[in-house]
Amino acid sequence: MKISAIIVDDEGHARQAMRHLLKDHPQIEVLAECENGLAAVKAVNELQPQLMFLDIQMPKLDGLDVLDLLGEAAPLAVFVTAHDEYAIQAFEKNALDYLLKPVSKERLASTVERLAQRNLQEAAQQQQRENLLSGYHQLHAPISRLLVREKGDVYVIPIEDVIAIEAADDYVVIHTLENKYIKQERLNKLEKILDPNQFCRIHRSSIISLDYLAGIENDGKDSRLATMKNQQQFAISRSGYSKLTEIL
Amino acid sequence: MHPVFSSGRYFAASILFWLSICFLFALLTAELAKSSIAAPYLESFSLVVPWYFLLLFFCFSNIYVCRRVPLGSSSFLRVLVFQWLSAGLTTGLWLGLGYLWAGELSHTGLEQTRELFINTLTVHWIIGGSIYLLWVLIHYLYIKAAGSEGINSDHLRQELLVRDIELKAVKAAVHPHFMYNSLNMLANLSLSAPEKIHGICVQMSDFLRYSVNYSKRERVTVADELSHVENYLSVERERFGDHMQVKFCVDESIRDCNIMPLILFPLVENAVKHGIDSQLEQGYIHINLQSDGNKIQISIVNSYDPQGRKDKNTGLGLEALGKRLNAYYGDAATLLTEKDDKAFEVKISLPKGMLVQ
Repeated sequence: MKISAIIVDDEGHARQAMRHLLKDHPQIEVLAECENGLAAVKAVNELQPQLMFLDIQMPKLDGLDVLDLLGEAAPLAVFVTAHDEYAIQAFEKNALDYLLKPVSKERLASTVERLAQRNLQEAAQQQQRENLLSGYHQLHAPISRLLVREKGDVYVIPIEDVIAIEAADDYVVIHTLENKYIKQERLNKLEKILDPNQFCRIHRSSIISLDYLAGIENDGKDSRLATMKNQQQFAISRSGYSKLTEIL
Repeated sequence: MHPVFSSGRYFAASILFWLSICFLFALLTAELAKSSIAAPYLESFSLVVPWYFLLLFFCFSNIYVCRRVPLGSSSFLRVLVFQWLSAGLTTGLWLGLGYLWAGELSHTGLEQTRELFINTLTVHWIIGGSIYLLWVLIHYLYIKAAGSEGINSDHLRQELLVRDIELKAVKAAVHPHFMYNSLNMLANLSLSAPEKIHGICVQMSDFLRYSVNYSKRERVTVADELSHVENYLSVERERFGDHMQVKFCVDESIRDCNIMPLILFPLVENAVKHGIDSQLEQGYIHINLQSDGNKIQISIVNSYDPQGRKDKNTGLGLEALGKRLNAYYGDAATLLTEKDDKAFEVKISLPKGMLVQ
């Protein structure tokens, strides 16, 4: 059985070398080479590969950003890294396979062997991926931007542009002055990696940015509304209110 | 300022102990006068306690004399003459004050005070003079102790600074990331383009040789520094390909000038890291070295993407370079940075070939 794959690396040499090394493993068919994270997201959408060799250090979107953006659409990833200690920590904690640069032939062979033994559609992978990302993000917390993929397009939202984040079913809506974005993510997870001095969970279903908070209105007994600088309003729960008064 | 004033606790303690001594002297004065004056206690305490209290401050003033004629550098005769003279003058002044104070007390009811003063005058001038001379001794001992402490801490501080600078120079000379990336690239090239490897190995050796050998030198020429960064950049150019555009603009007249080693490398390394490695589009680095009177003006400009990946140790390299420049050239060298949405510039101005150590 052939395994379709893409190679993602910002250095041409590295992509060529990986292609070279993969010649020893004809069961892996390289569909494309991508020189940055954006191209990788696009290639996964278009080509639907089963596997990606994913470099961690890349400009703008790194390997873990790519994984974050693809969410459930992400194929199985074999991480390739030179010296990102955070990434290595995150991999080790989640017992994921990763290759160190320069990649040795023997090490690649054992990775490919492991791939063959395992079902590429395993449900456990999704869980593993989520653990990896949340672990990695917590090491890097507080985060400085949010990544959103809508259809084929990728948006990088600087954290200071975020007015509020609302939960809806299994995704969140990110509000900025100009736009609304939808992201596959849970509010609980975002709360952990946002700067607690800048963001406050005011309700089970919403987090607001204190920078954009204009005022708090009473709305009947025990219920309050947060009014933002763009006139949007969000309900404040009782515990949310006590949290808010604590920070302010 | 007398050192005792620098701490509230020390000052309070001195005042309290001195007041106790004043009381004892008042008692002594009364005992001595008992044979000629009946029950002189009230007079004695009124006269002696405030008057002797003032003596403490007369003695404090002696520290200025001691600083004026330090034991270490003045001749012994000079010290003796100055201190005896000041002891005589100060004690005289103090005795005069005592006389006036006794007169004042005699007018306000304690009539026997002036008589008490005159009867015990001999004792007062002996005590006043001895206490003043005792303070001369204390002050000299204090100056000696404070001086050696100051010398010790100055010496230690200097040593720490030198160590720190040496460490930074060593750190600037060793480049684990560059080595990682280059080894990686060589491994890749060995598979895809083995004919390029030899040239790169030669350039890397030259680069390392300079880093290790030249970084220890007192001074290098501008030309040495330039060939060092050229070696570095040609290795990196292989890695980044068309993504990196480098332009040199160097005034030929300064090639032989002496400068501190490893000025250019940290700047160029920074430019590669932030200007090339962190952005998707093509980036550039412009290296400018110009002569300006008796100064050399260095400017390194690189493209900059505010949205690019940000490194946690941004600015550490520049800060270390700033400190090294300062330790080497003093105020004669300056380092400035400028940043806008598209470019980042570091400007260094340093004296041409002149060394200030």
